[in-house]
Amino acid sequence: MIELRFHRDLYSAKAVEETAEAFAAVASIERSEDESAITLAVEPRYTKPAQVRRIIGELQNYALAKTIDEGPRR
Amino acid sequence: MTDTPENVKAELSRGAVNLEVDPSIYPLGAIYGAAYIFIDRCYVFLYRPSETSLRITLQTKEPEPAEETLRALVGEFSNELLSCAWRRQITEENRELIQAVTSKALSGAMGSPSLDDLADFDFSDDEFEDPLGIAQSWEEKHGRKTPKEPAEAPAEAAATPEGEGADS
Amino acid sequence: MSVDLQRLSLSPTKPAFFRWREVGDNVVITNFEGNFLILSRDEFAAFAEGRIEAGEELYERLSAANFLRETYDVDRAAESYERRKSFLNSGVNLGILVVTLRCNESCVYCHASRANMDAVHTDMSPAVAEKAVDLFLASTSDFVTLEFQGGEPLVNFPVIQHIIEYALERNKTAGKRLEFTMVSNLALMDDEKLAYLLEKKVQICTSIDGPEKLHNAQRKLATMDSHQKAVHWIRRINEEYAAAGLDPTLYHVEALLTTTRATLPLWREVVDAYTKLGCRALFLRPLDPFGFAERTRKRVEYDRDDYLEYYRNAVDYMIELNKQGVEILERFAAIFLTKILRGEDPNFLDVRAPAGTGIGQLAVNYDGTVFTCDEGRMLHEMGDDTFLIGHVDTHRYRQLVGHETVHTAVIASNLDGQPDCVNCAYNPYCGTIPATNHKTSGSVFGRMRESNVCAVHKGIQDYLFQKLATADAETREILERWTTVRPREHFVQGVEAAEAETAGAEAAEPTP
Repeated sequence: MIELRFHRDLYSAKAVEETAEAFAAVASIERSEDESAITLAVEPRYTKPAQVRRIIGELQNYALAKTIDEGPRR
Repeated sequence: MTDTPENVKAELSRGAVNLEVDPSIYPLGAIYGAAYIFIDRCYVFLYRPSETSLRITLQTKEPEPAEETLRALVGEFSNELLSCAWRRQITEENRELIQAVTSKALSGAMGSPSLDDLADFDFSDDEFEDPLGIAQSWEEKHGRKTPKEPAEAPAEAAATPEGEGADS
Repeated sequence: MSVDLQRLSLSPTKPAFFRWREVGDNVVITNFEGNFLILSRDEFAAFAEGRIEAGEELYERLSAANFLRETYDVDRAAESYERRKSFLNSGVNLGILVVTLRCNESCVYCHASRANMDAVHTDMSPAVAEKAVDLFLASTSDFVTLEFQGGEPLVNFPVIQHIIEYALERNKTAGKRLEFTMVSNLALMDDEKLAYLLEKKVQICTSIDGPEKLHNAQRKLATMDSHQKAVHWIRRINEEYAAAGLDPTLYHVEALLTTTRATLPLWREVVDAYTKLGCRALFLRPLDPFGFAERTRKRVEYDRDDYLEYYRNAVDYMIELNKQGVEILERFAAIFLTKILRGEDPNFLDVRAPAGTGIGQLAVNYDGTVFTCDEGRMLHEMGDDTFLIGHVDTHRYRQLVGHETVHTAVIASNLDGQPDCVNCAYNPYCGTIPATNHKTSGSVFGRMRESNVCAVHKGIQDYLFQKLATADAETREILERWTTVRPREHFVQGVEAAEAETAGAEAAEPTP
């Protein structure tokens, strides 16, 4: 289980939601939130260290790219 | 890593390097700009350890990179970050000139729409993509901002080490 | 000793906006509209501190070039700027058609954008070719060059013929001033093909990498005689032009050089090889970052300081040859000098701002995919589709030119939004290439201080301004002559060919 904390002022909530949906096929993801962040608890469905590393890494990139694609944060 | 600045921490076992920057010097838009161009070779994660600091984690896609690779990575990222921050400032200062040249270049090259082009035209008033904020008005860019909710600030301190994606 | 701005009491009222750069013992200043002056350090200090008065020689020079606030002529600045950027008024004037990826030669600096001779699936079909022609003739530019590239275009000669016939027919209604250019290694040329190309007024360009030994080592044919073949056909084609009554000083095969590490010590031999072939222009192009493997890069690449030394040696030698009556010019120098001395832009798409990416050129690959530029097409062959903007089957001209990638490239190559360039004295004369930036730095904006292209552009302009500052009258006259553009009317076809005097630089030859 790996917890990723996406701060609201750095990541768009919509982008994080879409990321959780997009990676549901390769990981079990539980979502929680507080005032400053959305946290995804990610349990990859693959267990080899290289696979886990890749799933977590790609998930991070996906959330970041989606956030940036949304344009300037105001 | 040896001879590294205080704001840089390498995690060789993860093939990652953390770089902490002051967001009052490097605006978020510049950090996005620099981070984005590294996602083809790195996994990039942004984290806010405190109100006055922002941490960028670059983890190479290739496992077990050499220390030299990480050193080069953080150096290149720092250069790109500075470049992005300055470019944002220049873009704001020269906005009108850049906008005028861009409009002239595109309208000169595109010309008037044909009937086929008009048939495909999107007449909706949805926002178009404007990653550099070129189309924003002066008021949108520089106008008075809505004051922050006072509750936002202290919540940052609640960040936990588990939240950094470093440990399983 | 260099200028120390902190020791100067800068005047907030006398100087109008300017950029500056130290070159040798002098300081070059340029302004918004691209005027320049070369000042001594003392003159620069007097200018920057405002210690100048009307009636003084320096004041009058500064005023005449629009460097002073109190005499600043806004209308003149706007007109000059508009003239420099006049290329923005029209669209795509260079249409690249990659008629095949197949190539009979194997070059050390080119792997990714070629295919072996049995890869017939990389030949452009007549149907794709027709749609590509329709696309280019829909340009807003009234002057269009269709450039046949490959691979080796002569491998798919029937499609070249089809394109020419179709374009000439379609142009009866499109009404463009139309030019055809073919970039070929000439090894597959024969009498029949040549007769057709001459009849259809196709401008022929080839590659010569310098002396025979170097050329054959870098551009490999199975028979190891690529140089001999190219030279044979260059001479033959030039003879045909002369026999047709065309002025040989204007009409001759153009040759392109690719500079590798092995070329650097051979600058004299390279210049001599070109003059012996009757070429009157030599483009000392450095390697670009596309199309070859990392292992090859280590063998052929070089430090840009070494390149610039080679460049200066070669151009010094060319100037000496001109003084002896041998007419030859260097193309980079001609491009920059035209901007510096004439206040005009020769519209060389890679050295202008914004770049020609998508608004001055488009490239259609053999399969009909469309790219903003040939560099973008080469990136595609290396597995990167950043500059792929559509397909001739599904996209119209306006959709392609209005593509968001083109929009981004226009913004990214505007030097007034670019760190370093925004303060660089050479801003009015320079340009950056988004595809090259993307390949080398991962960003279409690039980082100029780390860019080889920037180093080369700055180094060449340093050299030229140094020459302008110190040149004798004869050298100055030679450099000014390099900026004189003579149109090659013979190659321009179409309903208004007779008016080709006003055509763009693609159809013109600077005077050596």
